[in-house]
Amino acid sequence: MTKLCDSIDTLAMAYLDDELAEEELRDFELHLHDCGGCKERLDRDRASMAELRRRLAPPPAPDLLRARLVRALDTEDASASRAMTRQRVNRWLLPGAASVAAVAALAVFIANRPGGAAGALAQEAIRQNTRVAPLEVQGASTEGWVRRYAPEVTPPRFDDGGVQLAGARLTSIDGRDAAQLFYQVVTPDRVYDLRALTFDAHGIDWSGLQQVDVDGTTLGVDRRDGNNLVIFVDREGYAYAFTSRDLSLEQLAGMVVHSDLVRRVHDSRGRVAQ
Amino acid sequence: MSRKDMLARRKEHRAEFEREALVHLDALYGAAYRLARNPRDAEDLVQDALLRAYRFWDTFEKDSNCKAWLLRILTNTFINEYQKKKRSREVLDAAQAEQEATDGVLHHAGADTQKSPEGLLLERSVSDDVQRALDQLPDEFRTAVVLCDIEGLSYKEIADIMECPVGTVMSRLFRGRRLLEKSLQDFAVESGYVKKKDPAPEGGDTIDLASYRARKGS
Repeated sequence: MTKLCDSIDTLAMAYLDDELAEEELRDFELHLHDCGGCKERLDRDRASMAELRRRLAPPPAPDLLRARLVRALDTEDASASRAMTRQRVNRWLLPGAASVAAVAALAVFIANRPGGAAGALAQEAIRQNTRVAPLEVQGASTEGWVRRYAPEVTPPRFDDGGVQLAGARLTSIDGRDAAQLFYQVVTPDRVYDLRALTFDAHGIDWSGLQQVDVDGTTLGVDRRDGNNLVIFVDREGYAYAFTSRDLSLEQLAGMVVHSDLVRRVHDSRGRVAQ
Repeated sequence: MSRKDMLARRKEHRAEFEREALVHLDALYGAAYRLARNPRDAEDLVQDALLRAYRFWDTFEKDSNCKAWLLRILTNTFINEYQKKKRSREVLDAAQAEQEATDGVLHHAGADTQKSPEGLLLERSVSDDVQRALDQLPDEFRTAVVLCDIEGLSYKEIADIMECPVGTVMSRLFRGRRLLEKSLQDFAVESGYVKKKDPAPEGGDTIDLASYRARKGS
C-alpha cells in the first residue's frame, strides 16, 4: 500500500472528472502501471460512471417550451417599454387581463342544467374530453393524419399563434364517429390544455343547451364538474365541442370566435342549429 | 435618448440574449428536468430562470461562461423559490384531492382516471428509475450530480454556483453518485432484472483533493 492507494477514492474520481493537475496526473498514471488493484478499481469506476451518465442524459427541450419562452420574452419586452410600444400579446388569452371587448361583454351564467338530448350530449362530450386515453398521433404529423383518417374534419386554426394542434384520436359520441383534437395553448405563464370533439351533428336537437351570441356567432355553452364546454356547429352541420378545465367559458368563446371556424361560416351565414 | 434609439437598443439587447443565452436552452432544460419532479415544473423553472437572466443580462460579464452563469441562476431559482412554491402547491394539491374525494360520488365511473387531462401528453414515464433515484437524493447531492454529470461543469464552477468549497463539492458528488448507483441497483433487484450483488468495497479516506495534496506535500 502506498500513499496513492490510500487516496484511491479521491484520485479515481478526480481522474475521471478530469480534475487532476498535470503532475498529479503523471504520478497517478505511473502508479496505475504498477498497481493492479488501483487499475482495477479505476476501470470499475469508469464503467459505472459511464453507465450513470448515460442513464442521466435528459431529453432535449420541447419545441413548445421554445415557443413559450419567445412569448415570455415578448411580454417582458412589452412591459419594459409599455409606454412606448403597443403590447403584442393577444390579451384575451391571458387570465386576468382585459379581454377583447366583444368577449368582455359576454357574461356567461349557466342558469339551469340543460336536459334532454342536448344535455346528455354535453355531458358525454365533456366526459370524452376529460378521459385519459392514448393519442393515435402526436405533434407535427397530426394534421396529415386527420386528413387521412377523418377527411370530413378540418382542424380549426386559431388566430392566436400560441394555440397549436398537438395530437388527435378517433372516438365516437352518441353512436356517431368523432375525432378528438388536442390543442396546447401557450401563454407566457404556462401551457393550457384544450380539447375539441368534432362530429356530424345532423338531427341533434340542441334546444336544451344554453346559447350565447358573441360577435354575431351563436355558441352553445355548458359547465360541469369544473369543465367548461363551448359548442359551435358549422353550416355543414358539424359540431365542434371545446372543453378545458383551465380556460374560462369567456376565454373559450373568445378563442372560437377568433378562429377560422367562424370565417368558414361567416361567408355563408351559418348558425348553431336550433 | 430618443424613443427610436431606445427601441433599437431594446431590440439589440434581445437579439444578443437570444444569441448568447437561448442557445443553452437544451442544457438548462436538461438540468431542470432532472432537478424538478415533473416536466411541467421543469418548464416553469427554465422560464423563471431565463426571464430572470434576461432582466439581469446587463450584469453578465460578456467574456465569462454564459452556460455556467445561466445554470447558477437556474439552480438558485430552484433552491430559493421553486422549493418554496412546491411546498405551498403540495398543500393546495392536498386540498384539491380532498375536495375531489368528497365530490367523487358525482363523478362518472371513470373519474379516477381523469385527474389531469393536461398531464396526458407531458407525464413522465413512471418507469423512469433514474428520476426516482434522483428524487430520493438530498437537494445538494442532486444539484452537484446534475451540474457535473449532465452539464459537465468543473468542480470549481460547481463550487461557485453552490457557494461552497471544492472539497464539499467532491464529497457531495461522491456520495450522490454512490447513492444513485445503489438506488438504481435496488430498483433493478426489486423488479427482478438482476440479482442482488455485494456492495462495492469502499476506500476509507475522505473525498478531498485538498487534503490529498496537503498529505502528499507533507
